[in-house]
Amino acid sequence: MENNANEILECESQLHNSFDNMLEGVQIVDSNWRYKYVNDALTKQSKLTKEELLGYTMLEKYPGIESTEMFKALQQCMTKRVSNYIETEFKFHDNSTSWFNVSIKPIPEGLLILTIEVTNQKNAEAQFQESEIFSSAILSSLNSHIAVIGSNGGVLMVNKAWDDFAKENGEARNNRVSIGSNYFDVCKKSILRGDLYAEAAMEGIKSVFNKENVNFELEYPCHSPDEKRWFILKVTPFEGEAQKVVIAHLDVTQHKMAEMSNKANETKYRRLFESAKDGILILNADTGKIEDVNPFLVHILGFPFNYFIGKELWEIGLFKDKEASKTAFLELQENKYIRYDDLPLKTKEGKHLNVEFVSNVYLVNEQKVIQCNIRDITERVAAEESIRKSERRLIEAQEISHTGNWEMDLITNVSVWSDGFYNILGLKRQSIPPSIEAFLDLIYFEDRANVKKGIQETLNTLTTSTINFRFIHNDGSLKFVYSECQFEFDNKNIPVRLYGIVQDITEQRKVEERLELQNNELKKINSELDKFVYSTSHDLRAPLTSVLGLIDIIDENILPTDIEQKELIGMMKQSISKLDNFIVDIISYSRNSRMEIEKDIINFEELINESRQTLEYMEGDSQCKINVDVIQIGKFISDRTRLLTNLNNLISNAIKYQDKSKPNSYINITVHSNDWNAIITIEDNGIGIADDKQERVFEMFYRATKLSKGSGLGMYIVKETLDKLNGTITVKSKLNIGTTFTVTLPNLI
Amino acid sequence: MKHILLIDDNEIDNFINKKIVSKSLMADLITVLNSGIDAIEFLTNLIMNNEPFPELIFLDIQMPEMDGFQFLHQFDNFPEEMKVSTSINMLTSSSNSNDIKRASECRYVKNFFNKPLSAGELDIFKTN
Repeated sequence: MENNANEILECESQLHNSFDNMLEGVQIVDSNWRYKYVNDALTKQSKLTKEELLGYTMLEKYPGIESTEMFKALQQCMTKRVSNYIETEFKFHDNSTSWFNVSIKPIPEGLLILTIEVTNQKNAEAQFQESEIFSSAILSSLNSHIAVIGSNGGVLMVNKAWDDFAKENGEARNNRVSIGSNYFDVCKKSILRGDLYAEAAMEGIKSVFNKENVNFELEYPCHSPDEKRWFILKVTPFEGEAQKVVIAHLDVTQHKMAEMSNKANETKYRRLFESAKDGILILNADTGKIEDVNPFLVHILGFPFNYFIGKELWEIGLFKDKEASKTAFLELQENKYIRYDDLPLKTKEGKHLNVEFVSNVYLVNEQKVIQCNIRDITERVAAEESIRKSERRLIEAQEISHTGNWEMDLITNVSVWSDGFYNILGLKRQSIPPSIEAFLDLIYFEDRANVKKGIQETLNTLTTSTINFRFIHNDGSLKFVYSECQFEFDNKNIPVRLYGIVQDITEQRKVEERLELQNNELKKINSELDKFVYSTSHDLRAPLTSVLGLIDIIDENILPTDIEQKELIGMMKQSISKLDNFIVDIISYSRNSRMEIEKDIINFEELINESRQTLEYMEGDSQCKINVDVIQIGKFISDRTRLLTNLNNLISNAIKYQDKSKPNSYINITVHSNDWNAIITIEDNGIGIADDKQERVFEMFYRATKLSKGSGLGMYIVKETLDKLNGTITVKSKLNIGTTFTVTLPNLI
Repeated sequence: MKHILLIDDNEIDNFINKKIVSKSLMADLITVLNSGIDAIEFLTNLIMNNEPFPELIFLDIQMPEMDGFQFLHQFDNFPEEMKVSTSINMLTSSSNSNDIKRASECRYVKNFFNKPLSAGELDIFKTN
């Protein structure tokens, strides 16, 4: 018995020993729930020592245990004596909880309870479940369409967006990619329809499966019947599992649209840049160096594209040096905008250009860019300069000529007066604005009606009209102006503009008035002088002629035998004749110098006859044979009175200075006239003129011989008269042989 | 019958002219007047008395009140039949060509004489 009992005890002790080292908690309780055995693992699980447990009941140690799941399972096993298993959460006194897998076996003593703590596993499981829910929720909430496929193309999973999209798209059920269908089959069907994107997608997915690519992306259009859409296919290997890939379709329509509109803008911009008729430079905003230049600028400057790149503005000549360039650059940085109306620029050929330069800073893709627009304004500048020059010249011309111009727009009623116009009136531009009313007000009241009449006439005749009138100068004086005005008409022949010039002719008028006055005075003096000469010729000569007449009568009465009386009478006649001739000469001279040239028809034959008649009774005339030979071809015009005076003088000289010692004194008068001139020669065989005196015979009061009874004026008057008639006279003479005077006279026809 | 009229304001010239004319031209009657006005009056009286005008008139140009030209102008108003047998001879001491021109415009003016009148110059009338 004892052995038996010992055996049992030993057996029991061996059992306990094997329990002691188990990882599971082991406890044996009797039918009264009193702890009979606990191993070390259990003490860890129960958080109580062996001493605190053994000998005590479960109800003593864990008050309230009877209401737990675990205790119910224990009770069931205790009463029904069948093994039981339970997974339960147990709450300790300190409110901590642990999960246990509890195996309960009925043993004779009571119950053998094996416990394994599974709190960690349990927590991990809960976490896993949670994350499972989370991922699936995320997947469902994603807009991207996501599917997981296996290496054979079988679809393992799709998210809600994928499914919805397929439904929305109205894809046929059999064609729809969903769990269980084959992605590759769908792709193949599309490839057969000629879908190149499908082909590329399939290749890409396979390349990821083959590990040729880490991942794959493909952008493709997927337009629905009523909207344009673009997607990106993203293929990524499933984390850790090479035989699965995640396929995501991202809707990038908005992106794509934005990109496309960007691209369109950029294309537009580029086109503008390329085709602009302005030069354009793009500068780096930080360095100020040129990054791009458009073809137009390349063209106008003649340098190759590469010449510009990397250069600063001053290097291409836009600014005179680096410093000026820098200043402009700083200003640009500060104001984001600079503008220069006129900068110099030199072409490759060395031609100078004037350019307008506008530069501004703007952002492109968050990147600062400087754009410089350069416009060639050389022609405009030249045109402006020439306009300025001509305007300046006009102003100068108006200043010098005392002219001004004015115009009135008849539609807008706007008047314009030039500086010159204001100057004439002595007005300042600011003192009186130009207007039609002011214009008329400034006209002297007496002339206003006349000016209006003149303007009306211009309108009627459509010609430029000329009006002289007076303006009231600012100082109150009257300004005489010469004015021309003209209308401008529109295509309906309605006058739209009246414009004209005025010239200050006040000074001119003064001079003219003075001249007129002087002229009148001169005329008066001339006429008085003429009267004086006329009456002198009469009043001086009349008594002389009376005396001569009386002497003639006395002479008649003296007997030829009374020689002494005859001589005395003869001397009286001579003296009086001399005085008379002198008076005649003086009158001729005075008349020649004063009188205008008369244009008379000359008949030389008749003229010579008249001269001969005048000289018929001259002393010595009868002793002289006078031969006349006239060849006159056509009409001859000259001053008859002057010509007659000349002939009288020349012929009377020839008679006077005949050589009395020669028996056959003669005078040959010849005239040859044609349309251009007349050549008159008077040749005699008289006493002749000494060589040294020939030139002097035309001098005033010069008498070549003591035989001369004249005044010494005759030949002087001949010369002067011929000068007036643009004629000439030459003398050829030989002392004691004779003299020839040759007169050349132009035909005044 | 030959009637000659001398018109000159200068008594001396009238004296000379009368002497010369009477001596060289066998005049039946010589009337001497010393102004143009008197001469016009004289000629008017001749018309009134139905007597003929003188055949020759010697007319001085320069005279006060009515000069030779004014006389010619007045003379022009006389009836044509009275003037037809009269020739006027101008006398001048001015030898002014304008005077000659002006006087020549009158168709009764036949000759032009510078003073003093000389016997030789009057020879042209003798041929008649």
